[in-house]
Amino acid sequence: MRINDCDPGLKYEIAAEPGGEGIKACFGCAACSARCPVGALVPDYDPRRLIRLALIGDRERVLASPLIWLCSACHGCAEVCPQDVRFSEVMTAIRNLASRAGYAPPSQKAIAKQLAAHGRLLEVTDFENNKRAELGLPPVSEAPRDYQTILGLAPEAGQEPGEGA
Amino acid sequence: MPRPALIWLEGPGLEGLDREMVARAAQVELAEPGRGLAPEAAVVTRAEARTPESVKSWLQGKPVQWLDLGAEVGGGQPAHRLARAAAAVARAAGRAGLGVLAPVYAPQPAQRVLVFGQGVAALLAAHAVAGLGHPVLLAWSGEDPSRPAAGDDPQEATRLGALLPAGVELSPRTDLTRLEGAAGAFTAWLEDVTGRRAERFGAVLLAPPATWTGEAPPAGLRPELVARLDQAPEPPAGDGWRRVAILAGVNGPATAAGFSLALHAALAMQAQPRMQAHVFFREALVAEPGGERLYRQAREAGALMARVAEGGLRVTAEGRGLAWDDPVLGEELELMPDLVLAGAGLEASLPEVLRDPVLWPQGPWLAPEHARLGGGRTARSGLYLLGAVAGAQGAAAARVQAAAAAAEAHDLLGGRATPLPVVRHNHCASCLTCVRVCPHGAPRYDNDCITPAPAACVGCGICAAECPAQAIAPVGWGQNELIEGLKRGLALAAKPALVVMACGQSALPAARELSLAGHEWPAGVLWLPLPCAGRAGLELILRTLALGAAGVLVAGCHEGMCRSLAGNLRARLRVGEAAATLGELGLSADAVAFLPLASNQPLALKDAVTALHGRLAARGE
Repeated sequence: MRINDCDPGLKYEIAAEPGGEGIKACFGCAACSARCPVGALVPDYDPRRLIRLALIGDRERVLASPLIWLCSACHGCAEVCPQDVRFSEVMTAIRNLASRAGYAPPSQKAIAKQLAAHGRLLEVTDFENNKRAELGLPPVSEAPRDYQTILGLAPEAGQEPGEGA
Repeated sequence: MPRPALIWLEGPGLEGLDREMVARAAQVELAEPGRGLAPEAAVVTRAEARTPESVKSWLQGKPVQWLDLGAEVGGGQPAHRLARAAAAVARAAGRAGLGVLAPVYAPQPAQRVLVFGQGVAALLAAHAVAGLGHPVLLAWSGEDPSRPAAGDDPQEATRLGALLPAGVELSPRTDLTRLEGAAGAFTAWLEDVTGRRAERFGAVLLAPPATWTGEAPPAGLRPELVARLDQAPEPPAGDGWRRVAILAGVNGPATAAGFSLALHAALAMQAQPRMQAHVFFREALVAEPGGERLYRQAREAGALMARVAEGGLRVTAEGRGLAWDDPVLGEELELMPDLVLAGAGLEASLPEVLRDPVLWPQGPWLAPEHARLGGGRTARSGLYLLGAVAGAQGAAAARVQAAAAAAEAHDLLGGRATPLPVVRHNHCASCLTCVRVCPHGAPRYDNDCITPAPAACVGCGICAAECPAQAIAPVGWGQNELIEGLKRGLALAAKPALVVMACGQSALPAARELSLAGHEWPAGVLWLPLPCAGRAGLELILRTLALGAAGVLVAGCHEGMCRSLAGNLRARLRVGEAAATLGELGLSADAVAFLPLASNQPLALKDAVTALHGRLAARGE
């Protein structure tokens, strides 16, 4: 790989994202790789390798990689990291950059649609609402305006606080 | 000859021993401490440090052997304990019966301290020594005392040079042409415009200025791309991203100062807009104070680190590119740098004055890597080497070194009464063996005879072990004294008798721990406590066997741990020679053995004593 074809600015972009601040502290000890439960199942998934590629600035190989969507956010890497890189959060920063560049996989787009429509990742059914009724709680409303406001999908927030707010 | 009495002070390890039976067996009188007149000579059953002052003052001026009897007896059958106690008391009584050996105390050591050198290391040393109240002569070859040496922070050099304390006398444009002596009595020949003069000093601190030595860039790289790291290189100009390769020890490991210099250069480069620094190294040397922080700062600033294998950085693209295998990505990376900064390291060589083959024959062995030679210490007591020559890379390390050297020099020259090794000039043949073997440089040939330096002796006794004429020994550790004790002790020891010559730094504390825990030593074990295993010597080992010991075990410190640098190695060597001699005589060579030991390894001592004694007992049957 030719280093001169890479973009040294990528690491600064990641570091500027919320959660990505720690990426440059990495000194490549591979404690995260050893700890990662995803890496144990998917041999190609190696946190240290992803950080190295991101530091060198191979934009295409980082942002277009299907591997960056595999992190299960267990934060095991953050527990063992001697340099406080907080890789799970760096991963979120990288995913944000990838999404903005249009690399999000279809499943992520579907999840985003679900979130925008219902304010949560799982559909709320009668099962949950019946349980809430037994406990004397009001039913969950399907399309509260405040979620859409937070997500920038509604022009302004509702005056009444929604449930759960 | 005074007749020694036994003064029995109860203590740990002596439970159940009948003092009267011990005294009778050892053929000494029992005396009650503090009652009546003090005996002519005495054996006290406790170490001196644990004996009450009243007993000590009662025995003032008498020949006394402080016998740590509890440590030598151990547990087991009453008859065996009695035999071991009697042999130990007899050994001590034999020595006490020789009378008082008046210690010879050193004359007042010279108090002035010479600091010779240039740069922050020399200035720190002058500050540290003067701060402890010694008059200091700071001499150097240049003009300005504040001129920094390579690797120094110029501001710190200026500050230290401007704020020199009142006790520091300055001697610019001075050469140190000759140096000899040891702690308390150095003579330095100094030469400046006024001429040559010899001056006396108590201690000498040498801080030869360091220089940068450049690392050769990989062969074939275009010369116009390359600059030296230590020569304040200009960042490359241009539009877009510019890339700088910084080499910090790719041919061999860099020094810590060289690695820090590379990181500082990387930080300076990263401060430029659209500049990417790549730092190449074989080892990230971050062990210096502040090193790890600097390494992290450079990474946070965006510098990229690449660890390469030896010879792993290749030149490509007709001298314009660098390629290496990235161990993380498992692929070859190639960089076309706009600038390559070749690494550098701090180096200083042994001062010229120490290369005199007659006065300083040790050469590099004057300051070998040794656990006891930190803080600039050398194998010559009172002589310190500071700065890069002693491995200090950077001001933080130099400050620690200067403080440690100043503290030790102050301790040596502080006027505490130091017993000197006694030289019997009518026996001395001036063969200079003691001058060669002393690990502290104490005996010197001065005024046509051997004269110990006032503050260098620690009483290890290596001179006494090696002197072919028994002409020199620390007070109490001469051959006669040890032999006289062994003679009486061995006469009482059960057969087969095993004499354990135990280094006071390692083997004796280990034996004490076992004894007080009730370990049963073989009946015939007789301890001979020594200040250092190096005191054993070939003659003492062979004469011990001639006196009736069936075997000798010399137990000293592990290699590299000896307080007297190589007393343990010397002991091992002499044991080997004794074994060879026994073999030549047709006797069993395995009756003598050397055991390397630490004070926290009592079980190793137990096993070695048991094994050797078992071997001797099996042979006797």
